Amino acid sequence: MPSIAWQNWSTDRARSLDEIEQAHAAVGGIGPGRRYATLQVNHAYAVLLASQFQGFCRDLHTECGDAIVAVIPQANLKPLVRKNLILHRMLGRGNATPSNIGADFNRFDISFWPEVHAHDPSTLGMMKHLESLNDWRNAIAHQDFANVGGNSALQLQMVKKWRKACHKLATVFDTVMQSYLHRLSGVAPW
Amino acid sequence: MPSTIQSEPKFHVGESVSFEFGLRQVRGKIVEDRGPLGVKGRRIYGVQLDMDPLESMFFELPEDELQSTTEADAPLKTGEIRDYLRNGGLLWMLGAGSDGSSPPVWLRRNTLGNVTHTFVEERGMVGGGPIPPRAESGDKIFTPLRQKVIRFVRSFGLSEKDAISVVDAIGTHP
Repeated sequence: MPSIAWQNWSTDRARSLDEIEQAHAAVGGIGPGRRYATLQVNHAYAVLLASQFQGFCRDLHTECGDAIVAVIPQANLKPLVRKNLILHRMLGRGNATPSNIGADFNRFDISFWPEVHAHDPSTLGMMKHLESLNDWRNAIAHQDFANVGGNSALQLQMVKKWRKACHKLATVFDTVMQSYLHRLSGVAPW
Repeated sequence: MPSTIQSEPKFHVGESVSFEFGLRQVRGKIVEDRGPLGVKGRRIYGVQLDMDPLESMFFELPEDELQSTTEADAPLKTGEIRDYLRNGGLLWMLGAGSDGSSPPVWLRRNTLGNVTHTFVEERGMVGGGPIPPRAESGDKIFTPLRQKVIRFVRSFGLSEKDAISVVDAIGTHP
């Protein structure tokens, strides 16, 4: 049974991403006007994908924290532990870069990325896509494309590749944290 | 009347220690002796846990939760290096050169004993060659720099044949 975070990722969050992908297909015509319009849609798609994935990661982190707090026997310690698990969380104020994700999930006393890679070595390549997505997200948000080759042109295929990578990572994150928290606490977290 | 008795520190800055991290025993380094700040005066240490190639983690742990260790990492095997590079490790490293920079990089073992890379020489086990700048193209290797990347891969101790197989497995573009 996957986490609520993963279920939201593959339903509500996926739905909003599908809608913007359909918007791309709906842009008609063959002239330069269409190329400009589809570029804007691709930019919006990339930014939305980055934010939806960040939302998933934050949700999963919260769900993991709650699972840990739930097994603490002393009720008056629960708020203390909960607050410290999310205090100054990187995912709450920064992008879902591999570094920020690792920093937040490592708080659960897990070598997060090594565990993810050990579970599925193909996630090494997925990290690369995640970094690229975040670079583009920042470039689009700040309208400064120097860090992404100096060119604002972004193909739909690239965004689709990033989305596939995010989905793979989301699935592995869910599996790794579920297994880890179960072993740690003796209780299935979700 | 003091309620605690100060004892000599069991560990010193720079020393390797092992401790429990979740469900694993990991190795870190003492970076600070915080003194007898713990419950009943137990000594607290600042410990660094390397998470290469990402940022290291810093903990404060009590003395009785640390063990001294002289255990060294097992040498990296050719097959492990090849698999790491082929499965995304090479592209990840090449990504660090996408802005035109060319930092040296080494391979080492991570907290689980698997292969990872590091930009810190003192933590590296093999390598040290500079990353070929701008050598990645999407999720492939930039064709004009194929030979340069093969030489870079060989800097990790792989044969010419193994280096070519890694590069060919990833593919080149355009």
